[in-house]
Amino acid sequence: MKQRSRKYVQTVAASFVFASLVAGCGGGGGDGGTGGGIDTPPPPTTPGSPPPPPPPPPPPPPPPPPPPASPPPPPTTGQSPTGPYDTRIDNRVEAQQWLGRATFGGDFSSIVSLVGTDAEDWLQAEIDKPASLYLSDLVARQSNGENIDAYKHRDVLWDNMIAGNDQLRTRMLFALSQLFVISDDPFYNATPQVAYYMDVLSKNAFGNFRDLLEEVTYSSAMARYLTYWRNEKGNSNTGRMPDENYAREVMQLFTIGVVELNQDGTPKLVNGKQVETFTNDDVEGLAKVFTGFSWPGPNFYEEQGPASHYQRLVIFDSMHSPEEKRFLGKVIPANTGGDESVKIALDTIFEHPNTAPFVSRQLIQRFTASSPSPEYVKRVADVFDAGKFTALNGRVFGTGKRGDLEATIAAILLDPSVNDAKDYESEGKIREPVLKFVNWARAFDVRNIDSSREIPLDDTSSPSTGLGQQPMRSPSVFNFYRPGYVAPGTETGAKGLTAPEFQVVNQGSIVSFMNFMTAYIFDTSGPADNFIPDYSPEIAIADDAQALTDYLDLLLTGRTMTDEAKADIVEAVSSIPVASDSDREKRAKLAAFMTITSSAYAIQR
Amino acid sequence: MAKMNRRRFLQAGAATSFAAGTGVLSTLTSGKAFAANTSGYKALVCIFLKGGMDHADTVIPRDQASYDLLAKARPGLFGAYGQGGSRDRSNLLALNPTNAANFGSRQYGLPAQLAGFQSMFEAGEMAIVGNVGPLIQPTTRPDLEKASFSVPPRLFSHNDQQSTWMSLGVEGSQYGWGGAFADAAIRSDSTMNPLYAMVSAGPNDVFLSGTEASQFTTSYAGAQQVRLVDDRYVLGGESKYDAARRMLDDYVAKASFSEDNLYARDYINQSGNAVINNNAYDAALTGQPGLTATFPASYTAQQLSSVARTIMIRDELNTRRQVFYVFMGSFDTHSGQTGQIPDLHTELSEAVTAFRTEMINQGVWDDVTLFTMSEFGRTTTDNGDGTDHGWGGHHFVAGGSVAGKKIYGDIPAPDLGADTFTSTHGRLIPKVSVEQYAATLGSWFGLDSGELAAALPNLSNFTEKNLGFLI
Repeated sequence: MKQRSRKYVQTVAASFVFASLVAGCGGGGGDGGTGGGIDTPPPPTTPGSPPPPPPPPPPPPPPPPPPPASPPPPPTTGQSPTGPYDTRIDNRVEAQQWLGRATFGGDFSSIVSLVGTDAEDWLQAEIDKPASLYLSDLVARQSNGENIDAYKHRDVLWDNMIAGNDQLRTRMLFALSQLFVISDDPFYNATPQVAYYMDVLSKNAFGNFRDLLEEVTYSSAMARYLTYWRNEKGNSNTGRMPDENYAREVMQLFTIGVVELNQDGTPKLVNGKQVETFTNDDVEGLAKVFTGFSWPGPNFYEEQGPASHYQRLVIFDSMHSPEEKRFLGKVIPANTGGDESVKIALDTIFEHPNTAPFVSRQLIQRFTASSPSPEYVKRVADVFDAGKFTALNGRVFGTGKRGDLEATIAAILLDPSVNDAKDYESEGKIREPVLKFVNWARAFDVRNIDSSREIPLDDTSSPSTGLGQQPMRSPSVFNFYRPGYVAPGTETGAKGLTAPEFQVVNQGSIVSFMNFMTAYIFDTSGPADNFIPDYSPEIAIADDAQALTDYLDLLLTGRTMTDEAKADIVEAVSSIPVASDSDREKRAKLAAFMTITSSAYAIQR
Repeated sequence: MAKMNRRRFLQAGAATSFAAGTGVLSTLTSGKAFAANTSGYKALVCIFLKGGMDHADTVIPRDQASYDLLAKARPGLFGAYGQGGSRDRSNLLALNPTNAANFGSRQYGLPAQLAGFQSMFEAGEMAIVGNVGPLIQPTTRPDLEKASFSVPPRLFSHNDQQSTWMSLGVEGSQYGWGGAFADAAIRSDSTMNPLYAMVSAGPNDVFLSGTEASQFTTSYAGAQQVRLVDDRYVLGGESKYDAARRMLDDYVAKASFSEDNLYARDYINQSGNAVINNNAYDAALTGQPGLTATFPASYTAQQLSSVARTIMIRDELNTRRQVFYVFMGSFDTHSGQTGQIPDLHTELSEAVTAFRTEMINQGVWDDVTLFTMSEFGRTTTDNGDGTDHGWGGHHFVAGGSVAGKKIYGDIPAPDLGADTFTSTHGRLIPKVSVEQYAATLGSWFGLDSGELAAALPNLSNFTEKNLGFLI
């Protein structure tokens, strides 16, 4: 990959940025999604298992500057925006940035060990890893008498984000949970149902979107969240109509969006106007499809014991609407059965031309860019449609079947625009608060990870006491933020750049974020023997404030901190006299706090 | 010491940003005279009921004929409420509007959970505005059949209609009319501090997005402080850490660094200003007496207590016009409605009642107008145990300046065949546009007709520009 030093990008910025800035992008639609069935499920592993033994402490001196000259890049197979690039990770900055995009962040040793490897190989290895699954472990614990009701799925997910081995898959799970949004908050006995749902997302993370859509549709967590669980067919005598909730949102939020899109994610204009993808008549017609769903059991209103709550839903044809169903130009004839109706409906939605750009753009936003360029969206959407991505060195990702998510994520992460600085001013992804917290835990090799003992992690959704974001607990089906959000009164807003994460990262939540991180950085968050950060590498260099600052600048921001901010950190850290390791640890913690609250850490580049 | 240093630094910073503003709209507004009346003190308090409040389960027909029509359209809901329940006709709390004659034989009541609202209504401190919703122009059912007829885009969609209520545009709109009202006041009186003209006690939604200032967010715990600076024992109680704490104090309040990346620039701006504004707010609050009313523990009530606390320090914050935003969720009652709406009503009614008491105690009830918004009403028919997305809905306005004990707009009988409903499921076609509703609030707030027209682009399509519910 091309070295992205500040000097280089500033030069590029000066000559290209203003000409190449693309106003807008995407409009209000939103995109996102992924999924996919798997042909051969990998053997499950237990999430939340202890992390691998901590790596040996890195050498005290700050990392040397990146190697001066990269070997010449191999010939490229495609046109890239700013010339040739390759997928080799040439230096520590590239390694740090790659891990920031494709995992929940790296520690120093993982950064170092990535240098000299090829990102394509890394990607393939990550895709091949067995999936962490969540339900079976929780159910086993339940049968051993443990009370798992108190949202224990949140704990095992935190544990796995921090310490799990299948990092890319878990990032995908988190991304998909922000497209196919449920919230664990509103329904009884949520834990095993949400764990089942997390398994659906994990298993299908590199599968096919169409399969994922179906598994989501038949999941209890979604059916209860969007209220089609035990939704009855209409009754013309009483005037009762089927619940329209899922019919609307599965189109509007999960697959096609509200207006017709070009392949690059921008709205299609006809006579200067956007074209709506569906009307309320389509919603009413599609609502008839999502009737008759219930837990498996002897009848519609009776399940077969509590285990039914976390099995695939079934459709009782006696409660499924026998009427003709019309939507999106499709007609399902009267008296078509439930499963067949759902299959036709989901096929119809999936085949809509909007699905590729809609889903692709939102997935890009979750990994690499808050405001991806239309060109980037189109490249990924084309891969989504082709179901296949051929990387620079010839490696092929995906099956060739439309909707392949392995191909899609490969296209997102290996896109030239990500790995080759082009538009420094508008590039980057605003890090989600959850990503910032988990990256801290990983960067400092936090030990004794048992999230169930950390009360602050039970619910991090408050913007005034928490992170303003809690996995699996969105405030609504509209996720924590909207993909088309443009932040008012900002410089990105003035350029029309979308900034979804600024909907939760703003004046109302930033001080809370600082205080939340303070409790973790200073290790006052929970039991003393839990979540213990390892500051030994920092302590080893803490006598040299500049070295400490430079080290954290690499570890946490990929060397994107401004000189000004670094000078402030050096000055503050230097003011603490070093008479003991306790003082050195204070220096390390203060420097970590100042780095993690910096604007450089806030934006993943 | 650190604190004093910071406060001085902050005041200097704030003065600079006054002059600079955000500048986004300055080119559009330069050279115009601004006429908004900013004498005295006035506050608008919006409570946004997210999810789409079921108007028909809130303001309920009480005359036998209308009541029977509603019960017929909602067998599931009325069955679940049951005889003798809060929706039993005989248990409805009667509304006795002074303009009852406008409604012929139709009568209305509130469920017992809204007892506080009924008291305020009967005392003349609350008005109901019936059938409000987003419109481009006056609209009837036959109009909807015409292909060329314009209605707001993306009707029935939560996020888009929330945005439309708040900003008159679908999702992605950047400026809300709450922000536009505050902007008008600030442009008229540049001596007011723009930092606290728009205060959200809840999320950072578009309603309070203006061009002259960004919204300030307060939590019910007061403004937040940076713990590592304020709690000396986190870094270390010994004096050898004092210098670091002082430098950190300055660092977290920096609102700019020489960032190239626009997102990073925006972030540091938000971050630094959060600290600066919170400190100034906190300083204003220091030494003030507490609230005298007892606020319930609900999230809605706690947000309103934050609003009340902010109003209490209006002089210290140097503001004479404020728009507040409070939100309440869970109104999207597709399922289990009869188990949810009553509790939501209780929470809403008790919260507003406490707020009223506090405002009366502070002597500002005449200067405060509280009003509800919600992205849409719901279907008149039920789906078994809930209702689906509609369009028009009924809303409440409360305050000492409200021309209350009246129903404005209309609350039609639930005759689904009538032209007041769409052709399916009994979705109300709004009679009053959001912009008429907003214009009435804005006139009271002090905006003149030109300012209202600028803030509300379709207002000119409606003849009645002030519904009269505020004096």
